[in-house]
Amino acid sequence: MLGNLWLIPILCLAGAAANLALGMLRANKRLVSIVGVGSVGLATVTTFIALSEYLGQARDVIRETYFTWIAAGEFVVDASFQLDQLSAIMISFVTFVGFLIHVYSIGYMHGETDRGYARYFAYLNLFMFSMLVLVLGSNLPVLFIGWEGVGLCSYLLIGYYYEQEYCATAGKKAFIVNRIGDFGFLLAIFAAFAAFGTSEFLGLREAVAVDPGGVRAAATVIGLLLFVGAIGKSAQLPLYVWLPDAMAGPTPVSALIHAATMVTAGVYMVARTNFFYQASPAAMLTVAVVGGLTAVFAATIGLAQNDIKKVLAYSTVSQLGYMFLGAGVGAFIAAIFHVVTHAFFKACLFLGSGSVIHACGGEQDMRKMGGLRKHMPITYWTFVVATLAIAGIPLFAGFVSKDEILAKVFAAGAVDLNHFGSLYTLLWVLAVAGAFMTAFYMFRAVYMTFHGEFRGGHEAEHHLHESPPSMTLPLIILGALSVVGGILIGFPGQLFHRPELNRIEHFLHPVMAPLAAAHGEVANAGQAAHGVSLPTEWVLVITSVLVAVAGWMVARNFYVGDQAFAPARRLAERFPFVHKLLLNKYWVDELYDAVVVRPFFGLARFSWKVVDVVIIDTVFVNGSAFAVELTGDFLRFLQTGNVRNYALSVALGILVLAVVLW
Amino acid sequence: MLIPSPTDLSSIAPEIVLAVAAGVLLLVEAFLPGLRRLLAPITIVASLIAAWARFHFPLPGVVWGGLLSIDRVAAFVDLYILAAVLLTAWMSGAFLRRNDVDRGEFYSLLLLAAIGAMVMAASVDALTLFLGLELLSIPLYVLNGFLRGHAISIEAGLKYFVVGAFASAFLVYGFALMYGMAGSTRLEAMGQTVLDGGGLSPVMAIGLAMVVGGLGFKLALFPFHAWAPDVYQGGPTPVTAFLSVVPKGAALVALLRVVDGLDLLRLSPHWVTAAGIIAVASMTLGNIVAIVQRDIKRMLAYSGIAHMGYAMVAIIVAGIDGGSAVLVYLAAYTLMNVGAFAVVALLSEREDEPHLISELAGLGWTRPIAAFALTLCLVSLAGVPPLIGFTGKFVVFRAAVNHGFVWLAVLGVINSLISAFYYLRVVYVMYMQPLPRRAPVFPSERSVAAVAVVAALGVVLLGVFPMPILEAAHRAILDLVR
Amino acid sequence: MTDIPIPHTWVLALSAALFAIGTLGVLLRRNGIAIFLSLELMLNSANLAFVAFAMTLAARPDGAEAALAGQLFVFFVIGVAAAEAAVGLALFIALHRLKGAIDVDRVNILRW
Repeated sequence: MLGNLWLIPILCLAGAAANLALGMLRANKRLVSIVGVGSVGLATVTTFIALSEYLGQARDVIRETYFTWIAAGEFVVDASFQLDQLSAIMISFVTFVGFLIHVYSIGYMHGETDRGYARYFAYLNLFMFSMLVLVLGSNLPVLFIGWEGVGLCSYLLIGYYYEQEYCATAGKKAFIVNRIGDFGFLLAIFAAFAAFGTSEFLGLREAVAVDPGGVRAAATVIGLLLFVGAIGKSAQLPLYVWLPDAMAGPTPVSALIHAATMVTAGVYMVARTNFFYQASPAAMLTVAVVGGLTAVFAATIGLAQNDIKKVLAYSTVSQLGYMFLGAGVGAFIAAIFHVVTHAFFKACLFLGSGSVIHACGGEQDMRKMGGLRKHMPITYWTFVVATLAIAGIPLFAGFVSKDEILAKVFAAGAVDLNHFGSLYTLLWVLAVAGAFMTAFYMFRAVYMTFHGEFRGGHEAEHHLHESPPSMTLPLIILGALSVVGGILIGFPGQLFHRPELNRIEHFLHPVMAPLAAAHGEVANAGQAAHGVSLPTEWVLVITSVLVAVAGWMVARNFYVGDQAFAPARRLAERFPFVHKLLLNKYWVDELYDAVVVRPFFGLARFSWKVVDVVIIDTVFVNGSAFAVELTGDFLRFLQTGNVRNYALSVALGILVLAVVLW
Repeated sequence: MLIPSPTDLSSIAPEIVLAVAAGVLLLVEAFLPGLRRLLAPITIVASLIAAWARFHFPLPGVVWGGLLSIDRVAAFVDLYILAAVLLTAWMSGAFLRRNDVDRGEFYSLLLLAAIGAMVMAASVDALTLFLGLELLSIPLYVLNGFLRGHAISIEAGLKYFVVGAFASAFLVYGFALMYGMAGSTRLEAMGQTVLDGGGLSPVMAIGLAMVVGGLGFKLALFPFHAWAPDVYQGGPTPVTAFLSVVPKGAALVALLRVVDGLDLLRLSPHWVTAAGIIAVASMTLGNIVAIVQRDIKRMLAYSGIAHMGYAMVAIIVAGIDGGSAVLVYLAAYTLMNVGAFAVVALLSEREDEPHLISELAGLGWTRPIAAFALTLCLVSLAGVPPLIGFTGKFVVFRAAVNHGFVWLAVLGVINSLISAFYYLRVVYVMYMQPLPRRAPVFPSERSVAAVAVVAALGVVLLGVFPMPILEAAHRAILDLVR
Repeated sequence: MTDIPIPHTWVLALSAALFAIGTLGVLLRRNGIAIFLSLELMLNSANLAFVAFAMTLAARPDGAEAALAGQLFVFFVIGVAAAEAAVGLALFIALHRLKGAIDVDRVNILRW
């Protein structure tokens, strides 16, 4: 399998093409399911074979070059894949979680038309292809291809129900906002090439490692530009606005693309290019600040949302903020760890919500739900498990990874990383506050949806049922992973003097290895963690656990039992403005519309009506054409039709010619 | 020297083949009129054999005691001349039958003209150049007036004759002067004289002007272009197709030999000015007046004037770059033009009706293949990649820029822009104008459509894969340049 | 009879004059035959020019071969002129059949 890494994405691409064809032929759903799920399944199997081969051999990095893609003078880009520890982890969970979601889709989408069903799977397979290209690429341009591909598929799938206007609009919004980020990414590619002459990750790492202090300016520029791309793709402030709207797409799509995989591409990319950030404290701080602010900001919005998918959406934005926060203090490994665990529990949560929505006949407003645990036990328990994970309750998956991040952030503050220590400490405080809010709003969702009495009316109550096995099976698997996934991968052994138990830390170390510190500075907070004593670490762990439990208990108080909803209502009455602010998501979309979108439309209209129609078309194009035509109409009369005149012009011409040549 | 050597004979084997075929065609016409259907095939076969003959025998270079130079340039041009003959003959049959003039003489004359062109392209002596030119021209005088019953055909033939003979007379006198100064009719000797004299002496200058005038007439360059619109419009369309490419190719090479032989670029300070004016005026006048033309053949005549303007740029550049650019341009131009005229030939019910562009309305739907072939040829003439017209222009302009004639290239590009209008207007009419209620019914002639398709195919293929032509031209030109 | 040498330049001058007359004839006459005559005049004046130069070259010590070339040219030009005449006259005949006259100015359908 090694040597043929290309098979993994190509299998998915083949599935996409086949499904497109099948859709045009209006093949039945069973065939489409087999092709759609089978291709991803094969890709998963292939991945694991490749993985075992990789683990069984000694090399760290396996690079496969397929052909020279661009050769324009000195700018040479190969189409090549790279399998190292980081991409190995990524392809593993991308294919596996992707496979589970594909299986889930069989049940969820079975109500669609044959053509729509095939279209769905074709797009989903295409997405898998793009995502795999993204994580396997060995250089920035190939990564960018995957990056654009996932953006495209996101647009296609968000707008899957394109006949509904708000879905089409949401798709457009996603694509356009992403584009802004992509612009930064593209500039970064150019800058990287201009500064270092290569776009290959290995080559760039070497170039930076040679003299980290000397390339600081270039690294800052490139790092910031790359991060702009990440802000778009991974929905951070201020480009997060597309993600909540993206919930218009089918729920499995939300699970796969907008929770587990595509949105984490930004984090992956930052981790992949970690050397730039290590060489630039300013860039790293920016990442941390944006991540931290986003984490808190999104969490506050999540407190007041009533649509179950919107809660999960803002929760995703918030969790992504945590990942970037981790990256921003140099804890790239922790960030990736959180990517993996987040994939497990967030996918589980989304799929669970899909199950709920399915049962409620398409209803997504939690105020119309309630008491569902009686009717959908499997969904309930997996949802609870995943909530425990995201809230950060030990020893569930989310706890280990989130805790790792929080610890590293604190450590960065403690050792005054890059002289920004106070900022980092502030961010830690914000992060802890965010953890409280996360636990609160997630359990709020659990209680509103599954506990108490059903509030949706008698008609709907009769239709409540558990979902078919094709949907519950993935839920169970993901739920299980939410329980044990964390401790299996990265148990914080260092707390017990058994650092070797933190498998992921060791596995990923070669990829994120700290660069030689310049001027004795601690460039990487990964090292900084050693600057915090063991007792302090324990205190941090216990603090975060307490905070999480506190959030849980408050939610329980607010939403369970006879007094359910009353405390919340009172709070809302006491602080109406705050409530309105949160409910309307700080009116950010409206702000963007007024400040950005409308002026832009105005500019476009002006460019069209004035610049294009009047100036260019009328004056220049038509004007010059008119002038030429006028000249032509005038000149044509030189052709008198008289043969003697013709002879005359010949004679004169020769005469003049002779005179000139003389 | 009095007895031709075997090499001499084999070097003109293609011409001999064509001459024999011309005779055969006359005999068939005279004695076997029932075999009229074979006239075109015989011509086609003859041209194929001639082409084979050219490449079968090794190219000997200078033969016939210094009169001809059968070199790679000559071979290159011969290929296109023979291709033009073949395609013209192929498309003529239907046309001639429709106009009741299906005669063997037509094909004979075609072949004779081709021989003249081939001789002209290989001439390195004034005598053979003159003879080749006349052998090319005289049949064409007749061919243009071939439709005796139609006034405009007679008019075309006459105009071509009068102005042509006039120009030829100048050419001869010019050669006389040059001969007098150089002491020989060899181009080489004339070049030597110019070199020795450090430039053009007055008499030499006059002579050269007259020779250039004569050649310029054949090329329809400004100010010797006036005959072209009328002759193109009036002549029988297959003849126009032939006329638009074969004399141009022959004259271009002859001019190239003269310019390079006399090293005008280096030795005559005023040559560039004069030739530049000719080139620019041709391009500009041709393109601008083409815009206001309603008859498509007339439009193509003006287009030809403009294209020769571009080719003149390459002649000015001279040397290897300029020469190979000329050859490439020639190849491109041959294919594009023949293709376009083939489709135009489809259009005339009766030859004396003007071939209005507006009559093409809706052709895209009634005759999709022909319309598409025409589109390709026209778009290629406009210089749009990846067709061969673009390759030709690109090579010419690049040569100009590389040798410091940037302004020529710029003017050339601007002119190409202007030309796009009238080429694309035809495409627009074909595809985007509705069929008029009284739509002219065009005969469906497979042979003509075939020619159009072949030409269009060539346009596309050579455009997408230009390397063979570019390399062949480059290799060939080395034989010609000092 | 003694040869009266004619200065070569005179011959050349004559040829130039004839050429000019012929040119003017083509440009100014409307009758087809007249134009014809003028064309023939031009061609033959060119012949005269060749002869003139041949004479000049022959006078040089090694100019015999060069002189031959010019004289040879004359023969070919005569032949070509004859062919041209045949063809051109045929065209004029066709014109006459069509229009009844050979006034070149009346041949004016194609213009602009």
